[in-house]
Formats: sequence, C-alpha cells, structure tokens
Amino acid sequence: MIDPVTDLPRPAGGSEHLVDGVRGVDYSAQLIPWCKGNSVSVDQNTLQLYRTLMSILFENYRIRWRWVDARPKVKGIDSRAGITAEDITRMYGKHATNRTRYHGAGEPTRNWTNAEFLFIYLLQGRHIRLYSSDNKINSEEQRIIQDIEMGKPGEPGWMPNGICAQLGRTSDSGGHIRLNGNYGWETYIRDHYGAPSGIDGVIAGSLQSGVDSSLKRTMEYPLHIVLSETLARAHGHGSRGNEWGKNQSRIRREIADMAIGGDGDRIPLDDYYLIFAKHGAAHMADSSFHRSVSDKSAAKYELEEVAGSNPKRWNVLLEPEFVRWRELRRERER
Amino acid sequence: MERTSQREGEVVMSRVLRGSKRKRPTLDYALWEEVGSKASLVNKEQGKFLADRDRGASSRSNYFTKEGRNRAANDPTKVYDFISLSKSFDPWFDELRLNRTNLLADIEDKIVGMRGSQVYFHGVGEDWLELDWNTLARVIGAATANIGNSEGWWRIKGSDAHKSLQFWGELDRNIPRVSDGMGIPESKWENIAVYFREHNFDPNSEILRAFSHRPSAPFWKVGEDDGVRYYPNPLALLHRKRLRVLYKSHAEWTEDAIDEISKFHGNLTMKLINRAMVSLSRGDIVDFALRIHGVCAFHVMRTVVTQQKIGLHLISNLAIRKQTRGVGAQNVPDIAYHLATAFHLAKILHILQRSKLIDWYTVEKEVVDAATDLLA
Repeated sequence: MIDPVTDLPRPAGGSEHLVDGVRGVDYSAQLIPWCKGNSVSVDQNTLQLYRTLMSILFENYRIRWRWVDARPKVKGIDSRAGITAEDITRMYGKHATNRTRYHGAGEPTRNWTNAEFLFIYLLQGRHIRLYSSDNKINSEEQRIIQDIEMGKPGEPGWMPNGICAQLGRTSDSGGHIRLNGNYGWETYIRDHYGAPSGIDGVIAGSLQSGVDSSLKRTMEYPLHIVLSETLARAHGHGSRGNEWGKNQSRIRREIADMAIGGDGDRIPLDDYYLIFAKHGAAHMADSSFHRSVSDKSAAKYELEEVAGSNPKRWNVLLEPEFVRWRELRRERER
Repeated sequence: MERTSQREGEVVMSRVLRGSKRKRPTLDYALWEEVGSKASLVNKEQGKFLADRDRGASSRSNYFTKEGRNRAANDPTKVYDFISLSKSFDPWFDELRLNRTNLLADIEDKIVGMRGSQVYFHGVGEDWLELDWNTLARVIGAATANIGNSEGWWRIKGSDAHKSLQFWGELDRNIPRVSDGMGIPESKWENIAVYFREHNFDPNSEILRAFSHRPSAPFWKVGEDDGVRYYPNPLALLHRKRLRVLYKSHAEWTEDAIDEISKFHGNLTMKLINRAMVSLSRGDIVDFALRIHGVCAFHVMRTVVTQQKIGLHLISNLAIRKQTRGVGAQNVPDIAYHLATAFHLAKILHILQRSKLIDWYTVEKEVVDAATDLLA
C-alpha cells in the first residue's frame, strides 16, 4: 500500500487509478491471495478478542476519517480514532487479577495479555502508533519498540513496561493507540469501505454516503479481519508451536502444492478428500469446499466431472488467487 | 484398531470400501448407485430403538462399525446404515439443474413486492440460486443440540441460536422500527455493536464476512445521502415473524422471553424448515428458497464450534455431495468414524429423521460387500 518511489501511501481507487503519477494498490497481486490463503475457520471464542480489537481500530479510524472528509477544517483525527485503556477495560475488565485459587492478586489477565500481544505485533510492524494525548506521540514509544526488537516481551514482567501499561498511565490525557496514517491503512480503509473509482462526481475512496451499495468495492475482502485472525492463530495459547488452525493451514498448503506440481489449477477430488483425511479432518472436507458462500475471504472451489470416467471421477478447480498465495509463499521461502 | 493405524500414519478413509478402493472416497457415488435399489428404509421406531441404545463417541459406536450391525434385536442379518439428505429436497436440486433461468426470474418477481427488498436485494443476481448450506447446517446443528437437550440426552442447548435470538431482540428493543425493515443509522448501529462486543460477540466482523452472499446475510450496509445505514435482511425479519407466530407471541421479546424460547428453539426452527419443505413438495420452489435464505439470515452467530460436527460438517457433507455430484446416500460407518463426535450419532440421526431432514436406510452387508468388489 506504500509507493516504493515516493515512500508515501498509494491513492485510493485501485491499480487502474492514477493520482499525480502514482497508481493505487493492486490488491490482486498479493493481498487478495494472502486473504484467500490465510482465512481459516476457527472457533469464535478463540479469535474474538483479536477480531474485536482490530475491528475497533479500523472502524474508529474510518468513522473519524469520514468526519474529516465531510468537514475538512475540523480536527477529526484524535483519540476517538483509536483504542484507549478505558475501551479495553470496558470490554475485558480490569487489567489485573484478584487473588483466587488459580492465581495471585495483581497478575495481568489473559485478555489484557492477549491484547498486549496484538499491539506488540502491530507496533513493531509500524501498523499503529502509541499516543500520550490526542495527537502527541508517547515518549515511551521508541523505547518500547526497541525492547520489542530485543525480544523483551517474551520475558517475565513485561506487562508493566508494555503498551497496555502506557495506555493506562496516560488515560487521563487521552493516551491511545491508533492506525498509522502513513502506513497505507488509510488507503485500504478507503478502498474497502469507500467509493470505487469511476463514479461521476465522487472521489475514489470517498467515505461519504450516497454511493450505490451494490457497486463492487475496490478491495472487497476484509483484510484487517483476516490479519487479526492470522495473528490470533499464530499466538495460539501463548506459547511457541501452539498455533491455532495449524492443521487447516497444512491442508491448504498441500492442496495448493499438489495443484502447482500437477495441472496448475486443479487436483483430483479423491486427493482433496485424502489430504483432509491425512490430517485427521475428513469431516471438514465438504464444509470447506462450500465455505466461500458464507465467508467472503475463504478460497473458492468448483467441481468438474472427468469426461468419460467410469466409475465417475471429479476434479476440484482451485481459485487462481488461492494458488497464487501458495506460489508467493514458496517464492518467499526460497 | 483403526485409530492406532491412523496414529502410525496410515490414512483410514473408509470402513466400508476395501483395499485400494479406500483411497477412492468418491466411489461413494457409484456404491449407492449399485446398492440403492436394495436398501430398506429405517422407520422412526427403529431409529428410536438405536437412539436409545447408542453409546459413546460416534467413532466407537457399536452400531456403525466395519462389521456392520444386526438388522434388529431378533434379526442377526448384518447391515450397514446409509443416510442421505431427505428426498424432499430433490425438487430443489432438479430445478437448479433443469430450470435455473426461470427459477431466478421467479424469485426476482416474488421479491419485488416485499417490503425493504428494493434496497436490500438490489443487484443480487445468481446468488439467489445458491443456498448457504454451511449456515443452514449450523442452524440445524443448533436445533438438533437443543432438541437432544430437551430429551435429556446432553447438556448442550445450541448457544449460537440463543445469541441470534438475543441479538435480534436487543435490536428490536433499541430500535423498534428495525422490525419494519428500516435502516439503522450508523451511530445507532455502533452503539449496538459496542454492547455486543462487550458481551463477546462482534456483529461487525461476523456480518462483514457474510456480505459475500446477500440473500443469507443478516445485514447490508448502504450509503445514503444522510449517512450510512445498516438494513436488516427482509427475509430474516420474515423468519423472525414466523418464529413469533409459532411462539404465539406478538409481544416484545424481552430477555425472559428469549430465555424461554431458548429452551425449545430447536423444535420451532425445525418446524419452520419443514414448512419450507412443504412449499417445495407443493412445487413452490421460490417460497422454499426464500424461507431457507431467511432461516440462514436470522442466524447471526456463525462461528461457534460446540455442535458443528453434528450440524455444519454432517449436513454440509450430505448436501454438498448431493448438490455437486448427485451422491444418493452415504454409509454411516464412514461418517461416524470421520466425525468422531461425542454426541451419540444414532440420537442425532433419529432427531434429523424425525424432523424429516434425512432419509435413513439399511443395506445388507453382503450386498454392499459384493457391490464394493464389483467397483473398478
């Protein structure tokens, strides 16, 4: 979402849209394949916190940007565009435990620890910034980033020095985290929620109302939700090698690898079932086949009967974006 | 024994297909073509007999093994069980195959007069012809869990259906005009979303994903001159009205009423699905499709796993194979093995059979073995 020449976010409107010589984002090249490859079905409860916090980060930012679009002279991007300690407390209770038979008093709760994990990843990747008031960067931000890079979050006693703790300490002055406007997320928000390009009288990416809702958006897929789920899965139960949904990832890799090593875009249906069975998930094969109907970001499969086969055989046709996800990943692995 | 072999790396695909055919799970189609004409229907009394006696996880059930089971207490003939989506669904699949264009036109004609449909369904197109089997299967799973609970078979009640009832009830209390199909202004929607987020359910992320299939999506976000509005799916509202009529209450759904309905939502849901199937049997395919889309759209909570093996995976297995490949019925020993659900499978099958959602057959093991040998 960043133009490599200018190092600035690309304009909204997609790859066909040109503003001052800079093209919009070509989502089909990497980001849509990434969504297709990383969207898995995992229990609501396990993913809920990550999805919710990410959803708030994006929704609050979007609402404030819409406000700014409508009234350009208004200073609209402030703590309301992000998440505060108060928001987290309202949803997940106090940050520290009471003394019970399971844990001592004053230990960080699991929800706050998980929230901290999410924020660490986002801050390290420059997806968010840490503010001590409406628009002042928290003076501890750089120290926290350095600590993260030194691997300190994995050490005991991190929480009092971490991001959530800073949010708590600066809550009276408007301390919050919010999306980094220079990272390209604004472009995504405009492409995902806003007007597509090519509408008379409407600027591409405008978040104002009045745009036909049935028009295809520049970026249809909820990239931020898939990202939150990917992070949640990676964090798992909080320890290395304890990833959620790992099995589904293996299955998808194997399906795509078989297609890439064979006809490119298809595998025999028998093999599709066998791959699921090999990973102890034969019961999921059919629901996965159909999941794209109820989940926009899931990979789409189609069935084709092998002409003249007796007994009948079928091939599963894979969506090009799904195969592309695997090809990109293999390129990176090489 | 099969569990052990799987641990050692062997892929156990089938208890019924033997030898190299184990690696051809798609022979399920040919197998039923061979044995279907020799199958006997399991009646409700026989289903009840098995339901009362089945014990343990489905993969360890005494009834659904590779050795087969006795046909009855006094008949030692070995049989395999087979199940399929009820034949009552066949007209839907036939219509999809033979009359798609007219069916789509008929649905679009019917929907035009429905309140709220012009905004909500603008530009839907071919999606009308795609039933969201996975969501329907979740609904059926929650209903089945609820019915089994009322029978005293287990403690699970289908909490996702409860959450859906709560969600619509809360909307109604906060914004009464929602029931009339009015769009919800974004600010009010946000307030509701915050409330549910604080109660461990994020409507935004659930609904965002469902946008891919509007007939079964609960809401549609529309940009209008005075701001963004969230419009409820008119078919979900219609389904809700039908639920209220069945519940014999036009009063507001308070938290108490929702708790009360939650005790028997399974029966109400099954009745409404049955009514859709009655429409289908009378040739009113359009009404069937719209009712089923409504059932799905009402079910806002879509990621609970508690009962998904008996809903999502079991029903979608039957429906998707039927829709995409025309598979008639599938043998239960294989389903039982792969599902490995802690819910007693014969009880599940009995509930689904009673609710007229599946057909349940037996075929003599000898016949199945002979047919299996013949398959190339």
